Amino acid sequence: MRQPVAPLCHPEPSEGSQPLAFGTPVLLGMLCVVLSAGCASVPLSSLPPAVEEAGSAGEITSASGTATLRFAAVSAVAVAPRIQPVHLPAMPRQQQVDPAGPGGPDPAVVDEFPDEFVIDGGDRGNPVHYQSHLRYGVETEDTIAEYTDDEGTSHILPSNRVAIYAPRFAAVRMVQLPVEGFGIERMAASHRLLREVRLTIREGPHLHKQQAGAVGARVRSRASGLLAEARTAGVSRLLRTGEHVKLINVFGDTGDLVAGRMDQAGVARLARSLENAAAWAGDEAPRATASTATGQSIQSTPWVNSFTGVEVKHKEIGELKLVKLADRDTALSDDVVLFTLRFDNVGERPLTQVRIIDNLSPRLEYIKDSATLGFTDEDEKTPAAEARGGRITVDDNEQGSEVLVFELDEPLPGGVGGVITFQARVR
Amino acid sequence: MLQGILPRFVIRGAMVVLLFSWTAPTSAQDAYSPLSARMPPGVVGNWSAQAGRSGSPRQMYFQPVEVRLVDTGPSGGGRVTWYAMGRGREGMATEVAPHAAGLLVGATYRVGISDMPEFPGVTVYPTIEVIDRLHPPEGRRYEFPIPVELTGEDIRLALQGKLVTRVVFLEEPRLAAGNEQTRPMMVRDLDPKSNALAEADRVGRPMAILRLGSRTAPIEGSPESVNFFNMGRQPIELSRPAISKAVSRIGTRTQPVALRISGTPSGTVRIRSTGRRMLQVAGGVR
Repeated sequence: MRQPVAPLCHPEPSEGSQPLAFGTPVLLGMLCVVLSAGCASVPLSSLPPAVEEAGSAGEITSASGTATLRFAAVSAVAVAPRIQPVHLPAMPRQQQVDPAGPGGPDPAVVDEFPDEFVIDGGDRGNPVHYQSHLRYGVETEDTIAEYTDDEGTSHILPSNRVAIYAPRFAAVRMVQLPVEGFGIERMAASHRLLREVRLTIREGPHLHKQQAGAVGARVRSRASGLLAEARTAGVSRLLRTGEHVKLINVFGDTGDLVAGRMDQAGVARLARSLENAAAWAGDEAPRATASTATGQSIQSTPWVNSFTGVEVKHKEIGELKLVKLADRDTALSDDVVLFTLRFDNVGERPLTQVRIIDNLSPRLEYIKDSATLGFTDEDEKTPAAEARGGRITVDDNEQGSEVLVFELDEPLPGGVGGVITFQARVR
Repeated sequence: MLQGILPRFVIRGAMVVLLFSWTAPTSAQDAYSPLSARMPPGVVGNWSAQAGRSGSPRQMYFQPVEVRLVDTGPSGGGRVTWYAMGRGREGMATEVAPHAAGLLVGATYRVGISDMPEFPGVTVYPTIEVIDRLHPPEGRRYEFPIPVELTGEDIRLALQGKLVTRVVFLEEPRLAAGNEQTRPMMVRDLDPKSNALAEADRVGRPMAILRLGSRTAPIEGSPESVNFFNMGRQPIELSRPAISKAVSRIGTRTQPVALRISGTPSGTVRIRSTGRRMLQVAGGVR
């Protein structure tokens, strides 16, 4: 059974950080603070009101009139509202949405005329990336997922792009009185003044091009001196003819040794060598020895008696897939569009810190409290204590719309997915 | 030695001066725009047609354009009369505003605005120049027409002798303001000396130009009337059957002209008058 996780206390209570009984010496409490890596136990009665409010977001345990508050040594932040849970045993809405089905926007038209569509999803423009622990590149219309696999590697995954045909128009207006316009434009014509001044003629005699050309004695000096010397210096180019003498060691050219055979000439040469050896060696007569080796063959037939199995505990690393859908392909102003974010861990190992970020287009307005979250391995029979949870944070994206951040409370096991739905109004 | 180095320094110095004297255009407004909404009606449309926005000659595209009247009275605010390729009154179709009709991209049409409760007896004849088209899903063109709005303020300005020019543009969603779609649509007034077409192109895609003045219609049957009402001599596509009940010119009420329209919703619409003379054939060369 999974236990609910306190949102502000990141480390789980370790065995060494049990709640202290009332009346425990203060020094022992301070030692526990050090050992519990930043989690402190403070008597509840001694807490000021402000800390008690913060304690509502932490984990409070009480036993026999003793209350302790455990919180992390990080700055407290506003708790995001919890997403309304929804159970999706069969996910009927998913079966009705088919982005590749008939009636959907033609991708070629979307690429060529994107101004006629309200687009949400994908990663347009500057790709999302991290630099100095800060995230960059989340522009409007972007929808990405962040997660960390069990090896500690962080990943960024963009979703697909959803296009809804919803052109919106505006106009610019210009009110003119034609008579007034003519008068002003004629008075503004200053061409005659410029012609009378004729600045271009006055500047003509001041052109320095001809003087600079006449001074160019540098060209003659180069042509007369240096180039000629360079040509004569080229005669001094010498070609060295080296003589390469290849020495052939005729003493080693014994064909019988190389080829491994012995003909009549070779026998005679061997006999002559034997004579020479005998003549030089004195009483030590050379002799030729030979041996014959008898080969044996061994045949064996292996007989399998037993099999030994080795269990390979290698599971595929976790990997997230993210698909975005919309329940309609066209919309008018004030229409409500239901967006669906389907995420799945297609690997076998869990994923942690799963977070989905959706930066809405300025043409979309998030409908408050419309987000739902459900998982594929949960249904209405799942106890509430075991149900996973998630949170949504809605912030202004400073471009006329909101950025939605969906964050899962717990790691996402392998083979488990979920669905996030939210509604947005087309402006 | 000095004579050889000095020109080199002079050339390098001149290049540096040129480099710092040249500045890139600071905004799109500095770009040269050859077209303007102040050009005569039809010039921008011709450029657009030559650019291929109107489709091929054998498959011309009729872009639905909806005329809306705002602050001109209750129940739609008046009537709109479409003038198409035809002769005299037989080329007219009058409908209660708002009403949409398919206009050829690149063509200029004359429409009549009449029976406005706030302006009794007044009829104005603005022109609509369609310069671009939309690409809605198949068979759903009339769900997404180009809205051309005329407000009571526009009518009053026109009656004062002023020329009102509206450039309707498709908003770029990434540059659009994060507010609700308003009725009437968002309108921004520009300086009379500015280029409204270039400004619309900066923030979106210009779709149509509306020009409204106080010009009265010429006498019926005169040579000027042909050029006045049938500017481009282009066909028109009506979205649904229309009965011209009260066509008013200069305040005179005329006899209604019955039109019979047949065809499929997707393309060809054939309109015949009761006199068996073909009024128009839309949907391309058949």
